[in-house]
Amino acid sequence: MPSADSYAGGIKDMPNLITVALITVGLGFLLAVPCIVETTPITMCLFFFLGIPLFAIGFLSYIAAVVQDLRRHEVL
Amino acid sequence: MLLLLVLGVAPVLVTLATFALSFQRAEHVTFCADCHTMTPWIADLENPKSKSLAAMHFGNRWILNDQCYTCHADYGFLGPIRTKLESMGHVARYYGLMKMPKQITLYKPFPNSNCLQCHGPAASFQNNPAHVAVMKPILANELSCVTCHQPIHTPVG
Repeated sequence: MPSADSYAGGIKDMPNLITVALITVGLGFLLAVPCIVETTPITMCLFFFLGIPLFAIGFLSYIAAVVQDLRRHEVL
Repeated sequence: MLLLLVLGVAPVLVTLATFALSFQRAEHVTFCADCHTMTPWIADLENPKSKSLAAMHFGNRWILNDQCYTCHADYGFLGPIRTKLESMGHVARYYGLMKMPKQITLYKPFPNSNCLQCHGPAASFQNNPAHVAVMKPILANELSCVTCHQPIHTPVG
């Protein structure tokens, strides 16, 4: 399983999928903030229809990175 | 492990917290009033001269809080959950993800259970001769409360 410590060389050493996962999950967190601070139809719509799918994409990217890593090390 | 926490666990926790918080806040009248479609209905609600049932319940604080949600959530096992899911549909329609109807209407006739959740046990309701005469069809939802009790809303503008 890839861990943050595995990428001591910085973002350049990170697989693209992990970078994508971090960016999408980060955007999801950003969209959650306005909804938590002040819930309006706009902030709710942004989080529910954009933020949650971004979380899902981020998590799936992470899973894909884990599978890639396991295959590279011939575990799978 | 840190990545799993950041990319897997934290988003789930944030989503659950946001769900709970926003669905609770979405019950407030101010939330309903945020959509321009509701402006005429909110104007009626806040009009002290209005004789509509909604305005009377709001103005006299017969319902203390969350007046829109209190009357428009169907009360039953899954009623409040279904109402919240339908509300998400309203939000999506309003922002163009689906077609917005030109005139808003109820999904189905207004159920008596929404009125009876408060009025049902009240002596003033149970002992009223007009109600006593038709109590059975009222309780069976065969005779709607709003057949006699009108106007419900008098949207302004």
